[in-house]
Amino acid sequence: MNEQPRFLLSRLLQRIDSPLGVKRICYILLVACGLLVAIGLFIPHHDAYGMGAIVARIPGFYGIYGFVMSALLVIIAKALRRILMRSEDYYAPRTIDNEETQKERNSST
Amino acid sequence: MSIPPFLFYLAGALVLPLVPKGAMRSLFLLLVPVLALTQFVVLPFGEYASAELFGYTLILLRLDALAYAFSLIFSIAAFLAALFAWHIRDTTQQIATLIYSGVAIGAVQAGDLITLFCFWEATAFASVFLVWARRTDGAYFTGMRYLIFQMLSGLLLLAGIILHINATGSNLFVQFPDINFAAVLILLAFGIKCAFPLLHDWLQDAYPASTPTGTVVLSVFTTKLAVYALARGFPGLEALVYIGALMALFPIFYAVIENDLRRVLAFSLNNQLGFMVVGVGIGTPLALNGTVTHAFCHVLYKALLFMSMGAVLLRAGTTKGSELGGLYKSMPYTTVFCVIGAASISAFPLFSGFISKSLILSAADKQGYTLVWFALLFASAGVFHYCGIKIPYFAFFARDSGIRCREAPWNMLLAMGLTALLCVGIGVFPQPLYNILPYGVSYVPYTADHVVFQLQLLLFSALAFMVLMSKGIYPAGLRSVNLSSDIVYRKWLPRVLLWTWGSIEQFVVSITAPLRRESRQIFRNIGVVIGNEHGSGVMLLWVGVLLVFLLALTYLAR
Repeated sequence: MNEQPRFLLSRLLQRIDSPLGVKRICYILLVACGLLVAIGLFIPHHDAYGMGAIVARIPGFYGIYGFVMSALLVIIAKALRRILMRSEDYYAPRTIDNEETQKERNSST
Repeated sequence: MSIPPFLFYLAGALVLPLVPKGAMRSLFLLLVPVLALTQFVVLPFGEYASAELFGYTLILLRLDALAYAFSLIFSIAAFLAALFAWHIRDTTQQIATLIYSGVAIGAVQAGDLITLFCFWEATAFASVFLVWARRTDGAYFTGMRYLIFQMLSGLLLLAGIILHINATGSNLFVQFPDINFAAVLILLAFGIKCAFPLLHDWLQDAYPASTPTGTVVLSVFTTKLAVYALARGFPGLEALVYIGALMALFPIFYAVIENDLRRVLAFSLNNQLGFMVVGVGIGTPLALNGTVTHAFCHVLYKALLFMSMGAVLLRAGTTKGSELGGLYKSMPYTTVFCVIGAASISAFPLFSGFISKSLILSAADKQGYTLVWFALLFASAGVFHYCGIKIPYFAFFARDSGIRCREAPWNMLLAMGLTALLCVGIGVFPQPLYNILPYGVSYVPYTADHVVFQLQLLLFSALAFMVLMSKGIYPAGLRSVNLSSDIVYRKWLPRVLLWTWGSIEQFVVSITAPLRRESRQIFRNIGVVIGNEHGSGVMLLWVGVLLVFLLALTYLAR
């Protein structure tokens, strides 16, 4: 962990990558989300027609929708893995899927 | 007299082998798109360069607002891709790229269906060499599958065009007035290239199989040409709204669990095409403008993302999420460019996706497609998840994979930098782009509610990512492939064919076995007469007998 990256930019990015940095981002994100919901209550709605105008009256609708739907997306997709996932050489040799792994194996033996 | 821009590319491809390899040739490759661009960029709208063929008028250069927007973005992308591939010394890829870019521009500037068909086929032939350029067995077979689909699209288009011209007598490429059999064939042809659901597998199959630079080129042309063709031929066709919504939805599930990050990008390409197809289907000026703007921005940020992954593939040797991580330590600039691309595709305010996607969403809501609107909103949140966060996170952050490589070469960084600049530039100053749209728009993307609601959608989605990640629910990268509808022709069909062939063979063998026994007996007896021991004389005798027999037959037949 003590290694110093060569690039200045890398060192800056390293601050985000540290456990403390991740924690900070979490807090910033939480605060930002709260603020956005609060602001959403007070702004005028003109860029909305039909359903957009209706949901704009629900406080934090877009946030809730974004959170729930993206969580659902991941959970459903993960469940789909059980049905859809196959090993990398499933279509081999008429595919590129396992070529890198194959090359690695050949070079190591 | 103006020269059709595609001729510059084709002439360039012809001359290219004579240009010495190295910086000179790379410069040449940069100059071709610029020269071709000067041919049409200030040209007044109209029809130029027509020719007569078998009584049909071919229009090689038709410039109107729709063709102009697509030609412009294709030219910009061709330039950026050439810069990105400056270090490439592979003549095959260089020629394929030149011809492919040229004919794609030719296709959007074609004023009639016959010309369109020629360019349509040419894009297929030129682009497959970019898949083959990887030069592995897997890439060869993948390229073959890709080519078969592209050819199928070409055949359908040809059949449709012939029927259409027969029925109407006109070969002009304009909106198809009614949806008859000919129009359905043409729609299917467009649909294959546009990767409609169930016709889409060639895209996710072939694009990740190309070279680091080849995939960037591939990502630009074929599918956007199809979007253009749909916008020209079938604006307002309601079925497209639902097809597009489906396209925007189902690839995102695959993208979440896909391991190859370039294939994740291919899935997100498919999802973004869905937005554009919805726009074509709605067909109002706002929606069509949305499609054109979104195609324009999409070409740039998708190219940027494929560039960053191309740089990773070049330096780290893989784009598998399961093998990558912590690359920001070695490739910080690529990291930043990738994040800009990710922010653009996620439609963050001040990035290009924000000013384009919202036109389509607004149009959907305005026309009362409520369910579709919800679906697109879901897809917008989803795209941030699997593309906006997943791509940069798995490649450059996450756990440290221990890979230490060099930063991308200068030309790649420069190409990524310019593309990133365009993404941000368009996001901050959308008006110049709005000005070239086919219909006048008075759309204002930066309103308080639009910005706030979009940020809500995105940041809460990021929150969900964090929660899922910290709970360990988020699916890790695993070396794997995921089944899709292509299993039908990659596994089942070959198996069925092999089985059918095997059983036919067995059946034939089983019923002919007694016959063969008999015939062996007969031939053994004949063998006594015509066998080897009697030599060629007997052979001659039998030939004579046969000839007499034939003569007799002929005589009788008269």
